[in-house]
Amino acid sequence: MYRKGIMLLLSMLLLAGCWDERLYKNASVVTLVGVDGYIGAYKGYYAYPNTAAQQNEVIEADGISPRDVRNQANLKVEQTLDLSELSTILVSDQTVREPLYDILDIYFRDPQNPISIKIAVTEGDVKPFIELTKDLAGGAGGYYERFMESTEENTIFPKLDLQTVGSMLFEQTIDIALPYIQLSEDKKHAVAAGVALFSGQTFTGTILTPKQSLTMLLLMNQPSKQARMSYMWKHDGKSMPITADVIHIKRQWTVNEELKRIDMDYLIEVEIEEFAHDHLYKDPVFKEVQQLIQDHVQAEFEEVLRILQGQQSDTLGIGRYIRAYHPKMFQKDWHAVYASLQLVPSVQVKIIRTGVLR
Amino acid sequence: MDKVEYMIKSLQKAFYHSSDLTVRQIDWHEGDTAILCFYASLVDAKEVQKILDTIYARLDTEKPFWSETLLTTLDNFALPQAIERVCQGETLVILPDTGKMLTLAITNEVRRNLEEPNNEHILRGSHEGLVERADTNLTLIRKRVNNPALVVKSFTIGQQTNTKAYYLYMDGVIRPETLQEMEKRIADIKIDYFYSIGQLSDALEDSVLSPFPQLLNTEHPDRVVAHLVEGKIVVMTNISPSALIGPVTFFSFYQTPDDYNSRVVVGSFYKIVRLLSFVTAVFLPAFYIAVISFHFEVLPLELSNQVKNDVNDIPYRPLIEALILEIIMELIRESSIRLPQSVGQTIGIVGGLVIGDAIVSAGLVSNLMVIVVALTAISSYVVPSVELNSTIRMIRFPFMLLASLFGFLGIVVGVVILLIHLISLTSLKQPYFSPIVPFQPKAVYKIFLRWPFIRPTVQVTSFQPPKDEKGKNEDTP
Amino acid sequence: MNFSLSKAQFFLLLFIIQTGVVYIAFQTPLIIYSQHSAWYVFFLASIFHYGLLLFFERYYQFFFLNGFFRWVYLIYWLLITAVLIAYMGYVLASWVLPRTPEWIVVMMIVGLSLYANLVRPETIINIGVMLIPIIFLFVIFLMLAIPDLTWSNLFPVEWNNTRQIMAGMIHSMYAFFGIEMYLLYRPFLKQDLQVKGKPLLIYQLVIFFFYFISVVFTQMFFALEEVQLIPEPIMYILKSQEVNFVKRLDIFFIYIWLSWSIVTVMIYGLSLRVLYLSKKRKHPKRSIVFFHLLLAILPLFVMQFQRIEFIKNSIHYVLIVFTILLPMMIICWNKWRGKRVS
Repeated sequence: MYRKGIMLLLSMLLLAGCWDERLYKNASVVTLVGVDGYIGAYKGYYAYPNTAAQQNEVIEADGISPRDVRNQANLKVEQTLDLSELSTILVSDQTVREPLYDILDIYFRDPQNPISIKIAVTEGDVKPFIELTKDLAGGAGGYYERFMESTEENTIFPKLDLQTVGSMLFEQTIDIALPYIQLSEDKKHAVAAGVALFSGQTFTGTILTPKQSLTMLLLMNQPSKQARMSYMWKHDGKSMPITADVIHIKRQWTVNEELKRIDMDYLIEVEIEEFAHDHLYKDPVFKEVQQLIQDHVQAEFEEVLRILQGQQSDTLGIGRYIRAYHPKMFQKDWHAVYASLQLVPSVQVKIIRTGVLR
Repeated sequence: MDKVEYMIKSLQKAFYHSSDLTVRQIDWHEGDTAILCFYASLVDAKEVQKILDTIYARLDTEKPFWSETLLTTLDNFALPQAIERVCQGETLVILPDTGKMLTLAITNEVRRNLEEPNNEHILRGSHEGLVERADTNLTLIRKRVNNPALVVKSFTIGQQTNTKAYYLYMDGVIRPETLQEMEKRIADIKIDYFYSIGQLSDALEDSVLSPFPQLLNTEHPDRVVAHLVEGKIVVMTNISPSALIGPVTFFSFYQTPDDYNSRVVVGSFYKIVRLLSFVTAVFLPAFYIAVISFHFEVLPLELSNQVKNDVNDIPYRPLIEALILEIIMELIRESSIRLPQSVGQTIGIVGGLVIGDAIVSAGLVSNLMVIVVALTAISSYVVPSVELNSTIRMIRFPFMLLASLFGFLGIVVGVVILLIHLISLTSLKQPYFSPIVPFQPKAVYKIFLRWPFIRPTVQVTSFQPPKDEKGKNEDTP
Repeated sequence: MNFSLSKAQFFLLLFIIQTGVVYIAFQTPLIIYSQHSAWYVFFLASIFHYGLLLFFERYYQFFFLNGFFRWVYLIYWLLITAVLIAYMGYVLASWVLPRTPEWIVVMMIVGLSLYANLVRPETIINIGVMLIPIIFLFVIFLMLAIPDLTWSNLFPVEWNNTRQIMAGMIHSMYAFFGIEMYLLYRPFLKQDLQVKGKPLLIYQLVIFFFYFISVVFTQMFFALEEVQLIPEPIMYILKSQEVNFVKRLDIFFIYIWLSWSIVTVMIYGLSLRVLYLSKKRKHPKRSIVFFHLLLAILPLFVMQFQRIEFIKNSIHYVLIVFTILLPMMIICWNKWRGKRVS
């Protein structure tokens, strides 16, 4: 009797088991998602690889919410759409005028979705950006992921993933700057076009050019593998390009609570990577070049800070700094305070290496 | 009827008129007659004749101890004893006039040469193997331990077959409770017909139904000695080259003489590799099944594309796919054991290359599954012990089933059950999973490392931790 | 019940009881109630915990449970175990197994505990050893999150908000639940072993750092507003980490946490067994089966978002009563009566 019972239980388990089974072969692994529209009328694009044809399929659907869009899209595919291998989300610049968290909620809530993925804002509709991946042999999401990672290494895009974005969205004290991408002229590939500035949850409408976003990242003390700056050196009526690569940054912020003024001292150590004139061992040349870079960087710092303050976008995390170290100065409505702060950058550039030539 | 003839008749009757029994009347000293009785199949006739000649010569000189040599004894005649002796291969000369019998213990030696055990190959160290004769085996062991503390005790197994068997231990090293336990179990053996070593290990093991062997089975005399000096008991029989060693721990199945014949660092490295092979051999297919059918999000993007391409057109569920391959694997193994060696190679090639390639191109099984199963098979053969190796190959099936039912949850449940079983398992009432149980942090490294060989360690005897925190209870007393 | 413990086994047992189920979750209430102060509030709470341990070590002989209190603790531990199982089932259901019926998961957990409790007690005492390497893994993989940490989240340090600090102290109780087991298992330690002093301090330091890392990491990884939405912050940190060979660490670690918690449940089962069988009983096996039957049924009533939330928001008061106040009371009373554990 006892044995029979066990047998019965076992066979029941065997027959009924696998409630949570999701066979990999039955899933369409979406790697790239595009979101367009606004609450009540979203448009979603899902790209997944078609293994037989070695290219990517794109499914388009409408719905009232991001999740609803996905349900609608599911009606159009022969397998289930599965977002657990998602690697990039693209959002159009119109959509992010509304609070960003609205569309990201489903990605945070569903345990199957990864949160170590990339997110970017596109210029105009998302559709062409998704469509251009159709003919790619590799994965669609993988293309954008690699694209953004390499741009991050060039210190154009900040190093972000969905989790860090979410973390900053919940905080008043820091704002996000998301990668902003354009289409190339032949509409065949994407081009990094700087960063989209956010104030709180919404897009301000202001875009920093790649050069400005590099400056912003230097201000944030986040130089990546390469951070190159090129300037023209005018000497004896000739123009000569200089390229410098940032090696280290030392940053010190001094806060004056009464004047609401922050002195931002930066010491930037660079390596010269291009300078056809050579002869940097000559003291006057060296000094002049160093001064030139310093002046340019100083000007750029001031410009970027002006833009950031003008858009009330605290991407540098000044709010975090103030709240932690000067809690008295911190106020609930941080963005207003931030805009009225007096930010005074002062840059000192040091050339510490000149490549293998003198 | 003559007394002699009557005795011959009754002897023949006692041996059921067996054809290989010789019962004959011969002349003895000074006109007496005697009866010669032996199994022709068991006795070396030439040698018997030589000894008999010596005894005849002695009889003529009328020495009082004419019958005593190394190989002969003179007893009073009694039929049951006579039968027993003849069955053991001795030659009987019955002297009906004096009521005595002379026994000549000269048996026809059927013995194999000492060869390297086939299933326990080693690289370095002694290549002698035990054979199917107890006295030869004892020679091999005595040769290595020249010490009277090595005690050999004999007993017989099988009420009907009366097979000779021995148990060996080192006096002074062995714990009395271990010895008592073994003696108790030997006394309790109830086997009528004994013909295989498996019967003995079934009778001696703590839990016969456990998949894990609780007695170590070896044919290497040096391995036997290594365990003897660690305070273990060795049981050997006259009919099998295998020696049973107990009590043992799970980890002793992962040791080979090679560990101690190679360099310390190298030996440790391979010991670790072997232990890791346990993990791959048991869990790899289950893990793969769980990933493919439950948790494919753990795969990194690039890998996941490859996997997806691979599994997309397989008609079966991953479990069935794995079972197909595993069963093919087991079939190849089984057939290559039974076949002669020259053909076995062919089977390996046909099985491995031809079937493996064809089954993938036929679309029954994915490439990755072939890799997984092949890797699993290789890792399961790494275990030096044949019994444990088959155990490992068997227990991965329940894991595969659990994985296909519940994914990683199933594997976790399986692992916990396996651990509870291993931890509570005993070998001769002593903890099988030591030094994990009882937990001795200082002894754990010995599982993974082969330490410079200085002194042997002794099996942990109880589930209780040692009395003194500093001293480890597995040190030599 | 006849077994004895070495120091290593005793502290391992305690460690697993204390860290078992709550490790991935206790940070949330702590940070919600003490905000930026969480990390030093936890530090204070640890000092209090150490004091409690010292007190227990000094007076453990007086923790004699009479018939009534034995039943009180039996029922308390039974209910706590049921809650733990319910929470384990709930977390599993929300993270990895949304479709699997809850009773199956509960049955599995309880079944494993039952199996472990039907064999000799040494099995449960020692099975925790197998967890040591994987608990190390937990901490090592948490370290991957270091580049994503925001150090300024730890500041400002303010001492004047006493209400916040008190609330934080109370919610730190989750980290120390089960410490009353110290009193239960201490008499089983081998007679001549010395626990006072260094061993106890080492244990306290290990458990403090183990928890402290998780608190500090949670605080630095998430924004304050964000933490309130995340009930299992440690899992979430692991989820956001990506390593070369595995994309989703959380899937592995949720199961590692599960096996760890299963062992905790087993130890609770063992405690029930020890306490119940400290008096001679007629059918020891039958009563163990009966306890587990209860454990299989009770959690099913709790496994629901609102009930889990309710329990989470109120159970620390129960913990305070049973892990601190009641043992102290019993010890004082017995000391006054002069009654000791034999």
